[in-house]
Amino acid sequence: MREAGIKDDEIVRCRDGSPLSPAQAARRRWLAVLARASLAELEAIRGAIEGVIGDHAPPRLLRQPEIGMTMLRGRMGGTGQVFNFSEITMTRCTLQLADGRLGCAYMSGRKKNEARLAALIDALLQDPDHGERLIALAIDPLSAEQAARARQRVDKSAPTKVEFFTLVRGENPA
Amino acid sequence: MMAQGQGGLLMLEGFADPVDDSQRIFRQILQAVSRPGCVVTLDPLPPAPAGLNAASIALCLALLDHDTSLCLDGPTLTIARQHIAFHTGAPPAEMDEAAFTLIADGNVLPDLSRLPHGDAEYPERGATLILQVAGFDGPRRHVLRGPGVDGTTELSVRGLGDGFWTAFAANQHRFPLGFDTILVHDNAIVALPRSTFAVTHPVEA
Repeated sequence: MREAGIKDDEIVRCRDGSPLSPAQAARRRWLAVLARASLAELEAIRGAIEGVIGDHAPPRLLRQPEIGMTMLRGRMGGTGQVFNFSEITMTRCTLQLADGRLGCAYMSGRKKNEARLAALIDALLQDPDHGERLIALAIDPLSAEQAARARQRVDKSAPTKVEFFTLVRGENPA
Repeated sequence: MMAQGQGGLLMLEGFADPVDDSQRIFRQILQAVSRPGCVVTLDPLPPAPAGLNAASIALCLALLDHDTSLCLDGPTLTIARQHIAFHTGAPPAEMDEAAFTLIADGNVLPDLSRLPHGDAEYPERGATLILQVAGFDGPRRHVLRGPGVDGTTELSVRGLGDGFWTAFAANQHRFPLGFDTILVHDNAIVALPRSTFAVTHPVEA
């Protein structure tokens, strides 16, 4: 079983087939962390960021938080053929800061407030001056906490795994 | 998915209330299409990118989605293209395949015979042509008749090349196939569906 978190960097590429730039990979990581965060966690992150950068002009919502459906796909055991698993609800939001930085959020579930907040945080994290400091302050701790939570879930379910194997084949009576 | 690589460009919002506003605009488009030749003012209007009328972008936001391809014809429409792609997800297409073709200047017309007009089994695959014109006034009168018109009605259009009326006349002979037209100026539209017949009167001396 795979742990939650960013695992398959090697297969994620830009539309033109080129690998992600370091900035894109970093953004991908924090978008994943934000997508899993609760409203309270997002509020805390925004508070932490605003503590560093101070006040900022309110963003313009280019795409207000909206709820839609997307097809979730899976691979059996993480390696098999891709198959359509189920449709899930998703919420997305895009906004723009006064200086042109775009923030977007995609997350599963019906979470308009969370998506709006995550999009704002995404835009704020693309800060040319404080970016790395903000990530160390706001994203890294939550990322570690999410990884720990995921590990805990795996550890809890691992002992329940059942291995099936055949002792005697029916068509070969002794 | 979109939103990336826009640099410092400021992008525009879509409808203030995406669901209700696009339904209001859709209702007004229905009104226009069911009364060919009537000038219908659209409201509420979203902000328009450079090169497009407010009513054009309202039509696009109300009618387009990822299942309807769009051919956007005209120079310097890069920002408009991005704007429509971002807000509707409509894939770009060549004119002979696009479900919708938007022409920015009615005086600079491409070859309209390239517009898809559907086939006998699927007449609904005929294109919808959105044409930006310079106004609904002018010296030349076009007399319209057909479904939705009580007897005849007159339409004057400024800034629309003769090529359109030639293509429109050819279109009338294909019914039920053909393309549907929506003329746009500023915040108003006039629909000329494929069921409408037009007779053009020469300029009066």
